Amino acid sequence: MRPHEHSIRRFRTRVAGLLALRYTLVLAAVWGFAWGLAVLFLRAAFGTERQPLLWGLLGFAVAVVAAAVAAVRRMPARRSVRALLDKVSNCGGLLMAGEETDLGPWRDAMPAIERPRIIWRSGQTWCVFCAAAAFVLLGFAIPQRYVDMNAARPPLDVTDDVARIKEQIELLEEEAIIEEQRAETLEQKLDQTAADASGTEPGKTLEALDHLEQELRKGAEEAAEAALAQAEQLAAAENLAAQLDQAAGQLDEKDLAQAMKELSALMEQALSENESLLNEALDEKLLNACKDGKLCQADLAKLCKACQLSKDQLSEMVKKLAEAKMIDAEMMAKCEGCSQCNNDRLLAFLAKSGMNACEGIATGNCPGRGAVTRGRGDAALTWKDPSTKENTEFQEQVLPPNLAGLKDSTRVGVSLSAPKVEDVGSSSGGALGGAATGSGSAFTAKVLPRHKGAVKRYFERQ
Amino acid sequence: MKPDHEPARLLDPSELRPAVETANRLLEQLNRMLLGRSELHRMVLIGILARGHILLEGLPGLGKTMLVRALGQLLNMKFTRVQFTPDLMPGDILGTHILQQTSDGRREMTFQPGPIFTNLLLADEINRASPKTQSALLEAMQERCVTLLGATRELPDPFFVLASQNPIELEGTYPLPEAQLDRFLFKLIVSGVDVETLDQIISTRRRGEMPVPTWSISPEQLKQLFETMDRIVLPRPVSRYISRLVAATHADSPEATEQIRSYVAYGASPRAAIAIAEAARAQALLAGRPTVGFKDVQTVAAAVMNHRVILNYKARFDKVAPYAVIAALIERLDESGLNLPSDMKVAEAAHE
Repeated sequence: MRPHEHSIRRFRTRVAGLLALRYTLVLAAVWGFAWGLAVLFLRAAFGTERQPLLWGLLGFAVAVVAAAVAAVRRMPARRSVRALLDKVSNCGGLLMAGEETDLGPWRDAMPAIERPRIIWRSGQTWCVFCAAAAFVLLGFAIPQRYVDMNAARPPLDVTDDVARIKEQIELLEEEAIIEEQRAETLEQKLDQTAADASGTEPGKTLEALDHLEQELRKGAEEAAEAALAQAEQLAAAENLAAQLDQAAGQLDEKDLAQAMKELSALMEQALSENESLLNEALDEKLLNACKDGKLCQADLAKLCKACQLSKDQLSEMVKKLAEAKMIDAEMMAKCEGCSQCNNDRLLAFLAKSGMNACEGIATGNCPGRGAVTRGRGDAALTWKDPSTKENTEFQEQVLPPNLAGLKDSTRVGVSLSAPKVEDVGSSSGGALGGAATGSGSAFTAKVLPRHKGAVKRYFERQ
Repeated sequence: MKPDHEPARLLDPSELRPAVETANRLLEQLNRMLLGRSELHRMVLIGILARGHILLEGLPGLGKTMLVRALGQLLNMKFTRVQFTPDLMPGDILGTHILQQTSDGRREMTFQPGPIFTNLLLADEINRASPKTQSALLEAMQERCVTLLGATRELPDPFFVLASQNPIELEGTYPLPEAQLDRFLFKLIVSGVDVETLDQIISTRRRGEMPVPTWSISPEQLKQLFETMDRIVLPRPVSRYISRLVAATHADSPEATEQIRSYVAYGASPRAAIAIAEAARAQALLAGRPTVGFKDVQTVAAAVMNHRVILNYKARFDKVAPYAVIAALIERLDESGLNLPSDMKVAEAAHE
């Protein structure tokens, strides 16, 4: 082999080696950063153990292979290397021409072939590689507690709120206000909210809990309103039944039959709205009589008792809702008062039913609401809202703005004669209404006789 | 696939030696006759060997005309000088038809050749002639023939135009168009001489007259010189380098430097690549080699391309000369085309 062929081969081999090393470092650095990032992510997000992550080392092997392939492909051509050797050896084209033609006697005249050195400024590449390696090591070395995103989340204690809402759900389920499936769904939502509770976003958790609680409260209020309406209906029926029972001897047959018929209608309506409630309180015979509209005098006492029992149950439910703080005090008060006798409604009902003769029944226990035209003389007086203090208290008045200048006025003399009234014409609005145009204009408001009272009050305050 | 050309046989040293000696003797004579400009003389001789036309640019009194006259004497050629002026007409250079009476009494139009029918034409202050007259030289310089009234007449072989122009006193001048500039192989800048040379001139040359040459080349020797020139081998990597060099003068070339992208409006033409190849051959011949190397190319590249690379207005503002742009390109472009990564470079080392 000729010396220059040997040099060409050695040079190419050396360049290929350096290129392979360079590409290996570059690719390994790229892989190192990617791997380190993946390690940190997996450990932080999923708490992955270190050992499985070591499979990433295989990426370096792939990088080495890829670098070798790239180096071979990037290796300079023989002709280029020959040209380089020709140049650095000052062959003046002889070495290059030797590839195309026979040099003949010029071969001996050719200068000695120099072996050029390859200078690789590898500092930057090594730095990047070392940084990547350090990044990977750091990704592995950091203790789990520092990278675990879940552990790092500050806790949010919502145990009390969750327990309270859970009790509310159970109460609503127990009172058959919500269905069992709905209750289960709400409990699942509540558990999920409690699991997701994080100190980083407390608002989110608390808002979710508020939403759940409001939903439950809305259901409770609707149930309480329904119970209120039902209790009022039962109270009306009970009231009518009690009054009919008391006035059994005072009514003629026709009115009694009509009243019983109306009572049956009331009971039938109450049964249609909440049959389960009355089922417990009424025996089968009475229940059938209510449904068939065949109530008789003997059933009235039982009916009163059943209505009372049902009302108590409704009242008990409302009380529980109030204790669970699912309804407000106003609703509770309404529900408590619903069972009291409301003879106005009874009277209206009887009037509507054409039973004017039964007015005495309605007013039997409640002679009136007081006053001259409202019931008998023994009726208790009732008071409504107190009168307001509007237009009864002293109201301060602010003086017009053009009197403010009086504060700086001085007395120049006292006249005993009556003040001369000047015609000032129509007054114009604004504090500077009387000011002349141009610079140096002064405030020239005039004090008129009608301002006497105001001026006097002003000095009195002084 | 069959190659386009058969691999050329290298000249034997015995074949090359006479031509090299003749060329070097020519150079030696030129240096002896005109003092202090050996590099300029070398470039002029390269231009002559490459059979190219040369444009000399320099201030008055620097010896441009003297150089051409000396060359005419050394080459033993017919030498003509034309002083270009604004009123010079094409016919004054090319020749014209005149009415003449023959011996038998008939009158006919006879062609009277102009001064261009010579071997060595000195076009003095060429930029003072009108564009019409300047363009009369186009065909003569490229085709080496003259066409008048439909008749084409060959110019003597060899034919060289050595033009001079003054870079100052530009008022009343007509800058050479790019097409004509492209026909000049070299544009050489003739600069002033140093103190020692001046001292030598005034102490050895009375009235500045140059000495008579002690030797001049014969037509046979000149012919042999040109034949030898034609056999100088241009290796493929070198021709590739020339191509890359010329292509890189265009701003849109991937190998163009940042300076070229900023300052060059138009790059060099393919004629520039041909001129570089021919001039590099002549340079190799003068160096006594049968092959062209990278350094031969680099020696002649700037002189070939500096008048072919057209700079933009930004370069004029920044006072950037074509020479600087080309020098930077030569410095930057990797001759061998190793295509190494940017952080790797080749450094010279010990002998094998």
